[in-house]
Amino acid sequence: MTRTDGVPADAVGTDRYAARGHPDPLVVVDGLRTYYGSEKLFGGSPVKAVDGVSFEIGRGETLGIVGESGCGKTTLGRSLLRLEDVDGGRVEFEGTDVTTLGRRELKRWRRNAQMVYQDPTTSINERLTVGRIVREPLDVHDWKTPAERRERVSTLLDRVGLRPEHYHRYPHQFSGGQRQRIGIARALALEPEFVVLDEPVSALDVSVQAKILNLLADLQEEFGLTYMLIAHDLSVVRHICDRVGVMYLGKLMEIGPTEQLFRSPSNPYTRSLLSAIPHPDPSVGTDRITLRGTPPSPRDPPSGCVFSTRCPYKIRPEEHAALTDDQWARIEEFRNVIRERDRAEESLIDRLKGRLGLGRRFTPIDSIAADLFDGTALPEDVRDDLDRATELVADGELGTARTALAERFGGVCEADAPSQHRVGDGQASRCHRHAAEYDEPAALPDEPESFLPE
Amino acid sequence: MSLLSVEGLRTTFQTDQEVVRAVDGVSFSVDRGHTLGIVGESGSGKSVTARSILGLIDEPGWVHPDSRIRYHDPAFVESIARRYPDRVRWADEDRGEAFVTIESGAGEGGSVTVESGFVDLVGAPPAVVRDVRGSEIAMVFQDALSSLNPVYTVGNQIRELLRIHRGLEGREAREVATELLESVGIPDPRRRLGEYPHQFSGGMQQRAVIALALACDPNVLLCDEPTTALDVTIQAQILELLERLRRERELSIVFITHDMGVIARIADSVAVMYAGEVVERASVERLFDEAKHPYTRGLLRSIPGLSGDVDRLPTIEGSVPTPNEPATYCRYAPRCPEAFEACERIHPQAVSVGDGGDHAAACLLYPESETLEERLEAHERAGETDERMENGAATRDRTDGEGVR
Repeated sequence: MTRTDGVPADAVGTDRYAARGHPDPLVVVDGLRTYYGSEKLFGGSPVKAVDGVSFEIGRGETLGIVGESGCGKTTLGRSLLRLEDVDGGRVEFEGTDVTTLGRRELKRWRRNAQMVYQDPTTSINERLTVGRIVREPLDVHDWKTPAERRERVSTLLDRVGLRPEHYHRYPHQFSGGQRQRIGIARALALEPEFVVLDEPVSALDVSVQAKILNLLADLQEEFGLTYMLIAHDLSVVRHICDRVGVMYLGKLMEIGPTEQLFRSPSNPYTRSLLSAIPHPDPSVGTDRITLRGTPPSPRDPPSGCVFSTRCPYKIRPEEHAALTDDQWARIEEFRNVIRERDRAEESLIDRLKGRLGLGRRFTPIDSIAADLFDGTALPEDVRDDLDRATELVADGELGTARTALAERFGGVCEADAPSQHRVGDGQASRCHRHAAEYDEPAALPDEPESFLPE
Repeated sequence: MSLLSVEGLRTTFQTDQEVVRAVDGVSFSVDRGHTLGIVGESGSGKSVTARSILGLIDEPGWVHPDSRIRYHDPAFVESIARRYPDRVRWADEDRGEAFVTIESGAGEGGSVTVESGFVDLVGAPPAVVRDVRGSEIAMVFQDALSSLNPVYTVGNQIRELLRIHRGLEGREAREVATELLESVGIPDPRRRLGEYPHQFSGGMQQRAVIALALACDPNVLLCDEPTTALDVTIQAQILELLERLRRERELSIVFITHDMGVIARIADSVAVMYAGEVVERASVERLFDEAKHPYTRGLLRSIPGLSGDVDRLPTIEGSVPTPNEPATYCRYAPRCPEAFEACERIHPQAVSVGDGGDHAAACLLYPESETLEERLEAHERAGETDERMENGAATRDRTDGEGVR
């Protein structure tokens, strides 16, 4: 087995169960990578939608994948079913590596693995009757005789809570919840073992949502299905998943049994994500972590740990321990402005304008630096470094300034990608703070010290 | 003291086949500096309620002339009273053509002063409603990207607003625009002004839309599902921002959402809507602790993760109906687990269920202190008065309607 995700083999090898964890896996994902735009000649750096993800899904289990939009969770689901071409890693389904299957084998295998899509208004063909929609997979795979197919469709419609007379109706006559039932019936037509549910209820109202979730649970029990549920609604995940994986910018940050993960999240990202859920109970306290900023572009992910630009528990280098929290927050803010500009200034014309001194659309960097640092007594060497960076930015050398600042202030979080640590029974997390020499995220105050108040 | 009050709001849409009663007799009020949450499923009439307040209902929809939408800001009432002296009435007067009411104040005509009073936005001429829109009551829509113009920079759009509403131009407008973006927490605002909406992330777009809404320094912010399209972490940021703005600017916020979690997080009081009606009104604590209406209770139960470790989520059977005839029955009865025979012939009225009258539910089960017969009779009697008013108004509408068309 080749490791492609940059995790030291021993970190996972010694703790294989902790890292991916299931004694009877149906699906084994190992170092999966799916990149977009890498095939282009002048495409620049590819979007690393899924970047070295490993986990297992046990037979009959429901694994939840959560994360913000753009974290790669849908791509992960599609890659598992080979709806996307993968760029590396393996997806084993009952011991067969499906990433290497040829067309015929792939078609045969897909009977076993199906998908339910997010948006029930666009994932079913408006021009076909409900019967045709559900029967289509049976037709494509030449399943038994036409009469038996018709019979099968009727059974399926009944099973998902639709009536026999719906067979000849068209999708527009159905509500969102009913349409999602049609999508589920279609996915189950060929009696698959494994179903990827891509946000199956996020387009639905809460009372309809509850019905679809109940239906999915019933079907799982009846047919012994294995689910991978992709969702951004964490309460849905908590309700139906056995285990949960948390993704951020193409990486799996933490994975573990649902209740355990929700009760004692270890990874800083999981902690922030969970505390962002508005709890339907006004008496729940207000000690929440609000993440600053938005996820960075997956085309230009942060070096080291992908979460380092927003992490409230980022490790401050030892040499800067003497700085006050406020000073440190100001430096971080300064770096953030430069990072943002570097991102925004990518277009050639803008860069040219900047060089020629035509671009007057920015606040000059020295006035930003003055706003942030005048009036705080920074140590001389720190001050010198910041001044040098300010000059570099003023000369249009954003990249150089960024690198210089990262070297000086980045610390371990920006230098190295964290490896996976076992943090509990069947729970694993990627964060430098799990290493023995640092404090665990759970041991730190929730109030992020590295951010200026808004 | 309420800043905005809505009473018996009725908005209907006339189509070839039927009259859809999207909002059917909704009442609520918001105090200055407070947040009212309006919660309900899709199709319950939440958005139409907000749009009705700002006069944003287009043909074939219209706001029933007997609805009351009152805006109580004394400074605004005074300016309007001075501008339209003929259409002012004092609290004890009865003048049909008046839309400004002065409850206490002094003087008259162009030099009248107002301590308290209100402008009735339903009866007000379009020019007054236009003055209210943006400057007094502003709206934030669900989909930020489609509320911004894709072919103008964000700075351009804010400056346009400042020019039209506040007459600011050039450097001054740019300064104010920068301050606005800064106040909604957009870093490096000067650069951002020169960017187009598509260059903003979803959360930043919503912040820009909030900046636009704040450009004219309104007193009330109507937020129609402003965080529904956002990720939880970004949603948390936007909610925190709104909370800060409410505090700093003493804003009143009407927050429309279908997410009970968001309601718990941001609202002071809550109105639960079902099929065009408010079925329950309460402070946020009471709503979550002591929900009375069977619909509210069902809604709260069906939230995953709240009902503890259960395998099956309790569900509400059926779906939200689209009301197209006057309510002569409880619209929730067909789905209600506690419905009984009378629910199908008596339309329940909002009755106090505690908290000094601040907690009200429209259900025949209440008030619990009375016997069933007493309750039914009370609801029936209140319903009849209601109906009479509506019938009277309906005859009037027809003539009014001709005038408009």
